[in-house]
Amino acid sequence: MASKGNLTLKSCNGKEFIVEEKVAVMSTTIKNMVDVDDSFAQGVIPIIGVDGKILAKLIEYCKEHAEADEDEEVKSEEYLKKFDEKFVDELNLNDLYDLLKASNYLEITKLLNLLCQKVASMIKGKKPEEIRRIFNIKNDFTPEEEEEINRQNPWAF
Amino acid sequence: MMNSVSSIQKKMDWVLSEDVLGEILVRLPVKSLVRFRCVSKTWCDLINSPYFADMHLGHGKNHHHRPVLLVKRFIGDEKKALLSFHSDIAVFGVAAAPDLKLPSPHPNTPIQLFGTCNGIVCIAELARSVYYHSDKDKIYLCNLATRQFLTPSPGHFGYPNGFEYSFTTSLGLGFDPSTRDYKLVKFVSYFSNEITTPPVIGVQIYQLRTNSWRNLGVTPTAITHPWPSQNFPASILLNGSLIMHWCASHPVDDKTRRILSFNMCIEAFQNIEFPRDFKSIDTESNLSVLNDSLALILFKRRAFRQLQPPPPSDIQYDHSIDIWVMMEYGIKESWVKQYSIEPFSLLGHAPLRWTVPWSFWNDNILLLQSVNGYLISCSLKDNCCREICKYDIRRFGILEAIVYEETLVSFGGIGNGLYWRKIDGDSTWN
Repeated sequence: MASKGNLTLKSCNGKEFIVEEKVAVMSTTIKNMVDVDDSFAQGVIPIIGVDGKILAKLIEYCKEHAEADEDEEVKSEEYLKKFDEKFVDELNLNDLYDLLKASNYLEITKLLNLLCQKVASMIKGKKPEEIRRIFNIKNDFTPEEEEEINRQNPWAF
Repeated sequence: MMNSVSSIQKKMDWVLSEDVLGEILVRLPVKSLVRFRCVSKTWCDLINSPYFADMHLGHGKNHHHRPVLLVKRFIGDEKKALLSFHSDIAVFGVAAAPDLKLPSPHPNTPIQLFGTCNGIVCIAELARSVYYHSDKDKIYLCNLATRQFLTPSPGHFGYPNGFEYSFTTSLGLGFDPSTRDYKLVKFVSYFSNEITTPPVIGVQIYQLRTNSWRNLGVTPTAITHPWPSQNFPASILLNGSLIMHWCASHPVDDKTRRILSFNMCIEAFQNIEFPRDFKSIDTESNLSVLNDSLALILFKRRAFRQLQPPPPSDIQYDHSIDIWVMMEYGIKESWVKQYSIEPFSLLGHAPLRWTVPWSFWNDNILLLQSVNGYLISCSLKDNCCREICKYDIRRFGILEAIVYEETLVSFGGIGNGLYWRKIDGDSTWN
């Protein structure tokens, strides 16, 4: 049971994390739960579909940002920028997608933006066929249709 | 191994099925998006949708990115003008896209840039001599990022009574958020054969949705300075209205100067005063936008009197360029001199006195042109000057430079005889 001002988050594989409320409510979804139902603030908040490893990552991110929001001098904008860069650089593809899904579900907007930016930078210079491979997309154009699109914008290829 | 690959693929199916795809794509440059249209029909439909174009435009504005520096120049001794594209400050001088040849509908009349709005650049060849009628102006609205352009239908206006010539003074492109329509505002000076009759300024408005012009009449007499003296308007969004601004002079008394503003939504003019201690004699002025405020760039001309005899590269140059910012919109007392670019930092890069490409890039750099054809960037922070590129300026000495954002804006569903045309790979404008 968490002490006052702290919340307990429970991952889908049963791991429990005690975190400060200000860290947990970086997630709009959790904030809404706590605001609406006081029992969540006392008990355990189940985080559906997010395992312990990913939840730990989420908490790591939210902790830094919650502290920075509170005291800009200790954690400057510059510091946060470096933290964000390192945070996304260390992710493997698998974790990146898990985090993307979790931050969307938990509505951690800042993190979602950061991850979308990461994916955007990853794919920016890629060819369409590489995009299809990365995202496992089936090409549903006929060869004629595809050629027509390519012909319209040769400068983009 | 197989397992982990297929689990990633499952996750990707999720990413693509949600709004998250839009959130990712909105962060990409136009060039990537145009290319990704052939990934699949879903991607193509999303990227082509006006909804996505709006989202992409909004994201770019909020994050102040995707700015491209566009430079117009002439090719050596030819009559053709070229557009060059520069991206990102970090890699100065690196072309963002291949050069583009501009059309030249009338020989000997230079084609010019007239500002930009939401990634649409207004390029025009205006009737600036008495041999043309201002109705014969050739105007191109271009989305250079998607290589498309359209040509608005011409207006058909005669002359006011007692006037025999017309001459287009300036042109501005803006977006009216209240009607979600694009408008052009055109200033026309009318002249009489009678030397004693002073010229009058007329204003015409073009609306994209109707593809037609209407006459707004002669500017109200309350406007003392109706004569725009710069090509690119400085546009500011204020309480949901887009307001365009030009440095403007008096039709007869060229010495005094004010700012002419035009509210695109209610179509009303106003004059705004210059800073109190502005001395107009021998001072060049150009209006731009810095950190969402009006910024006035002032530069004394006196130094150039010492120009004779050349060579121009050795000019002794003793005046700073001052940048005044209007902290509170419309309040004369709120002009603050925020930057001064000291003469020593400009040594060897003497700015060309009659150029107007002076504008800002990313709120921290002033762009100017030196007499020997260099486009110069000058950091507002430390006055440090760098050469971006040297151009051949033999034919017409003036470069024009404009910073614009790359967007997917394509005026969905235009009609009334308006249609997009492609600028072909070999730069033909057909």
